[in-house]
Amino acid sequence: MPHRASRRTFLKGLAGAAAATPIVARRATAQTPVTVKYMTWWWAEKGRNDAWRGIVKKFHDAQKDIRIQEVGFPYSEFFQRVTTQLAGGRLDADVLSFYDELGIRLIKTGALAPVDDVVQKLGIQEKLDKTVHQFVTAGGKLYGLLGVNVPYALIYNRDLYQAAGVAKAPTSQEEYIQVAKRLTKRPDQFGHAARSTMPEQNGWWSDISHWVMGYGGQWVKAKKPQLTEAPVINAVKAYKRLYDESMPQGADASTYRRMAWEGKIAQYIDNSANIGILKSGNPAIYPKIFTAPPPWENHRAINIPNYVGIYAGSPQRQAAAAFLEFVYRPENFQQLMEAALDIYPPYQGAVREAYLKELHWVSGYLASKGSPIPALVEGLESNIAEVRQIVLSQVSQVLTAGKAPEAAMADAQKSVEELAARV
Amino acid sequence: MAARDVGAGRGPGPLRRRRPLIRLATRVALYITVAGVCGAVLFPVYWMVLTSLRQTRDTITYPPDLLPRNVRLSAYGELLQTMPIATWLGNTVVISIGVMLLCLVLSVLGAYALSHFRWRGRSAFGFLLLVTQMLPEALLVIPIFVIFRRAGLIDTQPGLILADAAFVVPVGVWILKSYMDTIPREVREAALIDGCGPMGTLWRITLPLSVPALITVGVIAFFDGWNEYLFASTFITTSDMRPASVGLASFIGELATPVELVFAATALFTIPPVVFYFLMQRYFVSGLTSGAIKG
Amino acid sequence: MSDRVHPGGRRALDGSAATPYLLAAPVLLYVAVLILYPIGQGINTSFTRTELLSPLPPTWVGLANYRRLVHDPAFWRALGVTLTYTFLVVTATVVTSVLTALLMNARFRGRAFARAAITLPYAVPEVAAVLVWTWMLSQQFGVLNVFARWVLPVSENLPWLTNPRMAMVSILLVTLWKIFPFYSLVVLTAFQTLQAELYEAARIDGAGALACFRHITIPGIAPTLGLMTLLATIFSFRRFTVIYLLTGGGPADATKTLVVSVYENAFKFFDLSYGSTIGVAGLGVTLAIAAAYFAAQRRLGYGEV
Repeated sequence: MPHRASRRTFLKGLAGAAAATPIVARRATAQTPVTVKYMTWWWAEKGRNDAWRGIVKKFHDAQKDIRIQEVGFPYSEFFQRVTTQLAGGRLDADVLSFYDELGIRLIKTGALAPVDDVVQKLGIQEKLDKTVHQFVTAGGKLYGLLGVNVPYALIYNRDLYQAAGVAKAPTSQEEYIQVAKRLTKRPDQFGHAARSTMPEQNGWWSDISHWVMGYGGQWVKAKKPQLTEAPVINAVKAYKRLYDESMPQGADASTYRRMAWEGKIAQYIDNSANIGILKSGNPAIYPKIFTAPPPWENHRAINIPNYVGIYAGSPQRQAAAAFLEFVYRPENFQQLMEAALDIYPPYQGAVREAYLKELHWVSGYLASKGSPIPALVEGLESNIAEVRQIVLSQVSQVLTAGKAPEAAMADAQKSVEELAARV
Repeated sequence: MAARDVGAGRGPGPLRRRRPLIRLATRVALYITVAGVCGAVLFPVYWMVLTSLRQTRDTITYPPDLLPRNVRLSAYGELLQTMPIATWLGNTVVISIGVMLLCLVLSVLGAYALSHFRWRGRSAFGFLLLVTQMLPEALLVIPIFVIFRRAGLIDTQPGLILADAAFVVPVGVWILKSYMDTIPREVREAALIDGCGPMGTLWRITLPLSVPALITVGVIAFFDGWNEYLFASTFITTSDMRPASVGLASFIGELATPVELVFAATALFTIPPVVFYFLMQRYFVSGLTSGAIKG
Repeated sequence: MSDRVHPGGRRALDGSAATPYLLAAPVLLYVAVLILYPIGQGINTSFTRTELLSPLPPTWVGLANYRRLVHDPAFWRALGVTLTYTFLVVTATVVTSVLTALLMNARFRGRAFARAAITLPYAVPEVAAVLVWTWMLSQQFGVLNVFARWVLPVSENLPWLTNPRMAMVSILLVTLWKIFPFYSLVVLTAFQTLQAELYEAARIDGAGALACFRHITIPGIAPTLGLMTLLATIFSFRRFTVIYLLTGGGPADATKTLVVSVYENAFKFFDLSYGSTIGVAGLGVTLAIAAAYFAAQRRLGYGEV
């Protein structure tokens, strides 16, 4: 009995093996897909994560050899984790996103591979936006492609303006401060919102930098700090007035953006990515949000470029480059930008004019004349964090401890000079 | 003479007076104090849960409503639908139990060595254990990362357990040792004379008498493994293996943090360790006064 | 007595002389490889110039970092903040945990629930705890203002996190909330070692509750209190997440402890060597405190260490 049964099963097994063999043989000649790890904080960003996932899906559908794996850390510690891994010998990624500050370091330490070949393949050398890529270009080579650039402009809630009789957006600093004061009825409504606490140093630095640029200055010129010059002093004074009169003091950006979508902030200066947040937080407010250029004549403000690049130590550089080449094709990048509500293209033709025309809030951003932060600390680009810490520490005393702006900036000037001498 | 009420639990407690009225007043005062303390301590947790149940516009008003009016469960719904909560919690449970077991075993060995014996280098050993706690984690993260990378332990659960437990073991040793020191000499010597040997004494006498401290060390190790964040986020890159502490932080976006979701997730994550502690309560009875030394 | 019964005495019964070393070895090896060696590396780094994410390799600079440290007013300020914070936290912790443990040791209905409830702050992840406290301490919307205005004669919301003095109070409050369950648990455990017989005898002698506390309880848990104080001090020096996320060291560096300064220098300014230097300075201070504790223990005779 067992003998027959085992013969049965044996034959069955043989048949099965015979049937399976051709498939096995076929598999052996086909390639196993290569995994490309894409390390970014964007997987956690509402809206942007889905935009990227859409492109990844399109990539997966278009070919079978390369698979993208999502890897990442939250934005607040992205810097530190990447640094730790690199300092520990190897970054666990093939493609990664990074912002200007981190990019400068990564290039210096040779952690990024040049992407000139991707640009060549796409044929966009001439159309590439040179200014926005200046900080990822070194030694004539390009080390990253713009993933998203967010310009800053004056955002206002048209209903609140109309309710208070504000006919058009302010066009000078003084006017802005006055309008802000008029529109502030604590705690239900505020005429301005910006960051002012150390846990949000980076954002605070952006917020105050606009004002410095508006007054025609910058923090550091040719390695010499300009902190005692008029533009910086005026910027600090303006910030202090807004802090006392019109801001929700101590509220972080996450909070005041939520306040904005609840209709409690009448006007503020924030970036274009923020509009997507407002829209998803409260679709009803979206039609009421409009923008104007930054409220000063020269329309200057900062912008924050985030790039995508290839890790130099990746064993999958070719696959990584293939992925980037796919993403940056005009039809694909347009899709990405529209899904994420971005407006600043890495090269001409990467965004559809028709799409931009549809957005009712885009005018202020298009008029904004942006420069990234490293441009404002000319000569000390590798030490932005220290300059920032010194300056904001003093501004903090102006805002919360009643120190005079001139005295505070004089102290900051001294410290930054010492820093410049040291590095 | 009125009967003296001595039966109340070990240790200090409110003195039992003879007059029933004063007793009643004391009891009432006790319950009020307990309620007050629990209320004050739990208020932030209450606030967290309340925020997770509210709509955005109700959280950004002043003065905020102290009572749960207008609440809804949508944050929990969204959370459970969009995030792999079960996976995260599962990972965390594995890590916490691993840390707890490893820590208990090693703490017992180390504490017994420090408490029961006199030997050269005893002080140095105890001191070195404390030294492990004296340098900030930020400075240790990179060297430990290098060690783990060379050992191939990056992105593995055993690796994370090893890293977490390393920091808890010294604390566990000291707490356990401190407790073991209170076991009277006579008890230990009686066991040795009975022919137990040091390990037998450990197993039959010392450990049973140290149950409260063992529970404490177990709870501390479990909680530490549950909430540990720095190493978890640095060493684990595969999202399927993420523990809950990292999953929670992943909500904190560049531009906005969905506070309702974070708090909803926190509420879910906080319940298991507290339940665990609650269940361990019943074993929190001293063995010392349950008949070990009489006469 | 044991000597008469067994030749060689108690020692002979206690296993070989190697037993304690064998017991301690696994623990020592484990922490030596994973922690002590990295600490050694950290100390070594403080004698170099090591820049993170730099193409240049570390170079030996001897005591240069320490010379810079000694002349750096930011370091002395951070040290002062750390010592203030530590002193306040440790004092508050010891007091509240003893009182809480006393409370939780009394017999009342629902004690198990109360004990479990008290551990909730310990169970809440630090990130979430800071988020909810930041929210509660918000000058604009914080619910704590509601309570403060009931109790204190203030007409406006308080700048909990934006005023340098109040920021220190805030981090103390949040720290205390987060850590006191741990210490209460330790003290509660210690209470379990106190023998009921002592209290019986004292009551027979007519001692009141306060006298019992002073003469039985406190001496009984004194070693534990000492250990707690030491651990609380050591942990205070290295407490990072709560402070960093709540105030970032601000406003105006009012809450910038040594550890925050270490993180800043190492990971924001990329100067791992100077960060290590500050860390080693902190290590030195805690070493001194621990050594003082051990010496005091020996003198007071609370069992040899």
